[in-house]
Amino acid sequence: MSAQHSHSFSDDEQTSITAIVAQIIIASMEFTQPGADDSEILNDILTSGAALQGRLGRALATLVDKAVDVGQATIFRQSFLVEVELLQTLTVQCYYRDARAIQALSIDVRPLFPHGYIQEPNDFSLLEPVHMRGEIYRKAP
Amino acid sequence: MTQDPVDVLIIGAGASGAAVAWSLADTRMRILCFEQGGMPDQQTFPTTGRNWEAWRTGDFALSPNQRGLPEDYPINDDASPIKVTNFNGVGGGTVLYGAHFPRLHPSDFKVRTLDGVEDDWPVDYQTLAPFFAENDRMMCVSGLAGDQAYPAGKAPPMPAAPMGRSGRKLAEAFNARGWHWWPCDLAIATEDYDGRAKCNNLGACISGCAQGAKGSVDITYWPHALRKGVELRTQCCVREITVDDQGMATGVIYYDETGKEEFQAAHEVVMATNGIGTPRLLLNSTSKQFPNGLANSSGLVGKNLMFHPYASIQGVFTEPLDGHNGPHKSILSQQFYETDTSRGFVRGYSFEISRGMGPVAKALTGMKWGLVPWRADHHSAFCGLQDRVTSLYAICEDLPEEHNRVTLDPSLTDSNGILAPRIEYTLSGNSKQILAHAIARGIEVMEAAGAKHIETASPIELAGWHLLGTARMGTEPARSVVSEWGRSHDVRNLFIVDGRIFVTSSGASQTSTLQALALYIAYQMKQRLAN
Ligand SMILES: Cc1cc2nc3c(=O)[nH]c(=O)nc-3n(C[C@H](O)[C@H](O)[C@H](O)COP(=O)(O)OP(=O)(O)OC[C@H]3O[C@@H](n4cnc5c(N)ncnc54)[C@H](O)[C@@H]3O)c2cc1C
Ligand code: SF4
Repeated sequence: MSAQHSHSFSDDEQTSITAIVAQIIIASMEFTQPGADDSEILNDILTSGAALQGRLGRALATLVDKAVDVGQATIFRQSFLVEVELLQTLTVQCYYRDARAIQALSIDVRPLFPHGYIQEPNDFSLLEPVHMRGEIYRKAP
Repeated sequence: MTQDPVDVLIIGAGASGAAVAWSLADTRMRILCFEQGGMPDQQTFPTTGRNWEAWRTGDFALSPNQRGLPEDYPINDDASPIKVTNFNGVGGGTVLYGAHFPRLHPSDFKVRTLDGVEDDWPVDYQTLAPFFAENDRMMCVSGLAGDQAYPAGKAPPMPAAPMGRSGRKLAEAFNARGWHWWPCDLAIATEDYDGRAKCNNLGACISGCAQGAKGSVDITYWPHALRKGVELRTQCCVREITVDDQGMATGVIYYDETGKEEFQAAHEVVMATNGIGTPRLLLNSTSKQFPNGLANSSGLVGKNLMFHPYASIQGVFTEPLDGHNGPHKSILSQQFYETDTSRGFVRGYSFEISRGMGPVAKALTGMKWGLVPWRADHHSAFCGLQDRVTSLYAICEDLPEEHNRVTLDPSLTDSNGILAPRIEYTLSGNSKQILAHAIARGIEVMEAAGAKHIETASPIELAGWHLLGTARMGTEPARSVVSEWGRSHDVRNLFIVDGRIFVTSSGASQTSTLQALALYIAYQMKQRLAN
């Protein structure tokens, strides 16, 4: 089932969110990355952020009927610090779990568990100078 | 459900409660443990899903106020620059901890003798040495023997975890400065052990280890304690400890998993409820004999709260390092651990090196630092940070001050209606000087390592994970809450075994010492009471 309708933002608020998240992370041909206003990512943002509606509503209302360009986005950022932080966190969380965004960073699209990762073995020859300097703890009576 | 008296009732199934339960189970005593939370299920830990970083802001958030689960009592920490983090469930804080497992130093137990501050502890390193070793075995500690910052004899049972590229990079920088460093002791299995799989570098230890490699006590001590016959009841939240007319503990009043109020009688009561939970429970346990809270004739219950104030020194490098893959901590430096008064402060600190971050944390951190802009340059800036950020954390000694304290909030309550704790805490001048010194030295290390950009912060706000001193131990009843073997001076059958009995905090993570102390107290109880 699509989560398309399970959020609580009004049409105006959705339009404002779409405009502002497109400012946060823009699509890039060069990096083969979608923008945060890509329909799947946007749907995730609207759905996952449903509980924030009450806290974001006032700020989002100031963007209604405005063309959100760089200048407008700057005013928004300066005027609503708390709301911008919430939106930014939400956007980044949803963006960096999108399979395409992750793949473009050459990160495996999978949970960390169960496969985990390989690390290079230790080389303790680096400890030579530490050994040479000897004990550094204080003796207690 | 039986209400027959048990021989020992342990409250709290975290790091210290588990160790005591396991040790006391050697006797024929009937041992029961009440834990307000449930048994963690590794299959539900964040790293089992691709959305692992976002889960850390929900049910796996470090702050109980943020999680807000039924077992999470709220904490009013508005009057503290450092906010409390914990986990309420079987395993306690070890479910979310970083598993960094250094011991305190011999000098930490002799602060008055050596530095003229506070009080010496009534136990010392030598006394605890066999219990450190026993605990290392049970918690399955990995590391490298021969650290010059400790007396001989500390030999972790498993090989050290991989330092990774970030550990190596900073190790070279410490060498360049001529300063101590060493691979971290970690309560992380680097070989399959005791039915548990070895660490496979998921790199998300502080959201719970789905692999089961990290030594959280729900999978180390508890399976053994349960097999030895200890009874563990989850979702049982203790409201107060009751006493008789002679001032002896008689048992506890608790709420069971259905929210029903019950009484459980006990001959001995052991508190293992952590630095905020323990004073909260004692202060909530008022009676005719103890109008100011149980075991509080000294007036010190809840006072002398010590955190470890943390500073962060984070570097951005040009070449790729590790990202988040691998245990959080790789190496530590104790170059500035011991007192050197020419530095302008007493006591000291350790540096811990933490690898990197996942993509969400990296993007948000980059935005906070002004390195990852909105719009056009987001992607190139993000790539400039990918696997290229690594962190030095300075964990600083905090000395006890009575005005730093836990009291009861007059109106805030938990889901059972029990009064919640309130914290008042300010950083001392000495702690501020230690933090400033650590930042200056940390910058030198990052520069020597070749960091192209360095960010610092102190104190780190959401780093109140070490909660110490609020029921300190000592030989004088007027200056301490419990004796040298954890027994309350006022209530002869009440014991406190968690880190609240620490006299001073040291400049190192405490769980190794806290558990060694818990095993020592259990040993004393077995010698003196069990038969
Ligand atoms: C995010 C994080 C990272 C950490 N990293 C490290 C690290 O790397 N190294 C290190 O040494 N330490 C670390 N710690 C600290 C470590 O977790 C604690 O030192 C340790 O868990 C404390 O043990 P304890 O037994 O005192 O309390 P806990 O382990 O917290 O256990 C207390 C238990 O008591 C229960 N309880 C409380 N009140 C009641 C009640 N009224 N009724 C019933 N049950 C109750 C709680 O639910 C809890 O399960 C970290 C902690 C956190 C949160
Ligand atoms: S790094 Fe190791 S200990 Fe940490 S979560 Fe991963 S497997 Fe567990």
